[in-house]
Amino acid sequence: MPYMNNDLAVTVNSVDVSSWLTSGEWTEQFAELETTAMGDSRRTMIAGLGSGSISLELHQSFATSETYQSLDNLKGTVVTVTFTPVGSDAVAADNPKKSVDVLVTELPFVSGSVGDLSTISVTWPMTGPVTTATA
Amino acid sequence: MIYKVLSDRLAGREKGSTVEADELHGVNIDALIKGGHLAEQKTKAAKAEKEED
Repeated sequence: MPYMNNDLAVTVNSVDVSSWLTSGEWTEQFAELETTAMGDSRRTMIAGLGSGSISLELHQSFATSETYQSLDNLKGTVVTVTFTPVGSDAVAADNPKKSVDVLVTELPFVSGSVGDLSTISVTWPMTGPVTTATA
Repeated sequence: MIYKVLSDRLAGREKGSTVEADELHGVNIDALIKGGHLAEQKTKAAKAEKEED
């Protein structure tokens, strides 16, 4: 069933960043290992190593316990990120909660032009397995 | 070690509640303290030990 994306719940290092979040994306992919050989008329593939990344766009705030203070000390570390599509609903098979460790490779301090709302965008690579909770 | 929750941002924790280090497995506690989400809470045993010194 289609749904309006306005209740995505995201935690970073157990901190709920949802109310600062304007955009979130969770992407996983697998390398393509080609197995095509003589006699084949179409290319064949098997999956290689899996990888992925998460991307967030957040309102920047330097207030106590908000965006900057919550994320700045995570630079260069591995932390757990969770995504739940509808944060106000219980985790269930139709509202799964995904968790993964990510390496915090980047964190803009300030970004934007004159007159803009101050936001930051990050993309962090996944490291290790993804887990999915349905209850 | 016991920590007091200082913000209303910690997933599954209420502001003002306490949490033990064992319950924060895999969490970067130092970053949560520096971010103003947690504070170390002195235990009675730790206080008594300090008084003995």
